[in-house]
Amino acid sequence: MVKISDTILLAFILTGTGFLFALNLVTGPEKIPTGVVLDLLSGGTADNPAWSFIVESRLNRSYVALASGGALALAGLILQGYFRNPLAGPDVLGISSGASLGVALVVLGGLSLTTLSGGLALVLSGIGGALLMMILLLSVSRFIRSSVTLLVAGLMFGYFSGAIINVLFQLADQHETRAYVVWTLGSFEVFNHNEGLLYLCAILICSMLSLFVSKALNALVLGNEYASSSGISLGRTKLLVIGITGLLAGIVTVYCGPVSFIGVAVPQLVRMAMKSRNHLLMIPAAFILGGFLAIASDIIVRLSGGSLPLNTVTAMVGAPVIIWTLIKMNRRAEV
Amino acid sequence: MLKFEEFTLSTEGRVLFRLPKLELHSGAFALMGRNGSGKSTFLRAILGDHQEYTGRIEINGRAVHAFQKQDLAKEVAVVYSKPELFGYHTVREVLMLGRLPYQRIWSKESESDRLIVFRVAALLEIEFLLERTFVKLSDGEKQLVMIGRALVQDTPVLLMDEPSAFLDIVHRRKLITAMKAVLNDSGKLILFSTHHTDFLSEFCHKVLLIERGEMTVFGDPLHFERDIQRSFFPDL
Repeated sequence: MVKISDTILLAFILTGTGFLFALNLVTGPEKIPTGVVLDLLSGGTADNPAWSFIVESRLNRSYVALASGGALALAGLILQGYFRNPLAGPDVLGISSGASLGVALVVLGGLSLTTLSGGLALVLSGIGGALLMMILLLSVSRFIRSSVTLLVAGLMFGYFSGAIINVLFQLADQHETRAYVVWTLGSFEVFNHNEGLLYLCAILICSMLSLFVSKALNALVLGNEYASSSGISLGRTKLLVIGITGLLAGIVTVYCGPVSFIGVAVPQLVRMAMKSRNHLLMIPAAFILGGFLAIASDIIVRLSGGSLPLNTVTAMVGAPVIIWTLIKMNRRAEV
Repeated sequence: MLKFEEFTLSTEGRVLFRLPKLELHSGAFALMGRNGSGKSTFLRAILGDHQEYTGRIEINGRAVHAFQKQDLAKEVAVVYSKPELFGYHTVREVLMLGRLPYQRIWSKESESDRLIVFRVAALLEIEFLLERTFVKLSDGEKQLVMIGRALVQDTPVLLMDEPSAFLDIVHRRKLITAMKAVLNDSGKLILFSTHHTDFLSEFCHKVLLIERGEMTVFGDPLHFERDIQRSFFPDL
């Protein structure tokens, strides 16, 4: 049953996201009149030919931000529900690190970013890293009961891939290491138009797929055994969770860098703000709120003239939410 | 309702116990035995979660392993000893989880789902808890709600794995009252494992005892206590 307060909440975030989206189109270091922006978006032309290019790049990064934030938040929501752990997320569990390792192998290993085969190798390698990390984590999680221990395991996986990346770093030349460092800072600005659309489609498809785990996630709130006795196939759920979260986190990480905190903080906020416990509603809510936060962060990044890296901004928002969750978790043994 | 034939239960290659033949119908049945004797594994086998056994388990004439997961969930429900909920669900929402086997992929609840939740809450006399947050309840209240959730699942067979393990004697008494109410209300089969012999003779039809690799069935409520003692301490 959709509760009225949830409908209002969703409408509110949706409006806010739309507002930020529009704001991101009309603001920037280059002052372009709002009328001209609207004109350009509806297919018109401007007196200044550079403006057309700038507006297109603003549009691209806006929807890339929306999709990326949404994807990370969604991956976080699924991971938290699956592991029944309010602190799980694609970054803390090391899934983003797996993707980073995949990226590092390609970037630091010398394959160029610009050639087509290099680009494809980058995507496949990144997604492969994320999926591999997810599988590793799940095989370890069978032996781990405490939710905090699982996070520590995830962090260790993260450190381990970090160590391998450091070794690669030593072996790479200066040009490659620079490309890699810039990538790790995170950014929503990497795309040409077609690539951006492809990215958007991939994320939307994975997000739609995630609706099919909503029932399993609803059942898993009482744990694996209860879920199983409610008719949920644990094996199939596990495969779907690995696939969807690995793909979502992998794709975003490859293109935007290891963007942290959105994946952990947003599901927390959703669980707190929403009345409904049905993941069918929580999934779109997390996606929209993730997009909202990502665009908000991107606006701050752009207002700073690009001097603040994306990850610095997301950390400022996300870290307090996580600290607050930790305090609440310790006050009551379970959340 | 629940039938075992030539049943041998094992775990990790080790035989836990044998059960040549047993048929249970509606009523309450206590499952007893020492730690590690295989009570939980036995219940998990009935739930289809443990496959390491030979022989046959049948529910209403059909082998457990032949069921689709979702169909089995309409035959057997379960209560474990300590519920741990992730999220801030109200009691009503936890009870509603029992309807998942009947809901399609989007977990949409129907009018009849809501009706069943209300009926079960009335039966267990927990209506006053319905809008409370589950994680803030006491262990005893939580366990009553978990029994409620299993009843909402509306299955002929109800399994409980040490449902009273963490309860004090007052809450244990409440749990027994609830089980009696369920038995009076329906023709359910309740099979529950326990270490407590108090109250057994009040409402149990049989005691199934696992000892020395065999399952023994005691059918005399008046002498449950004595029979159980004799099995554990044959020299006395």
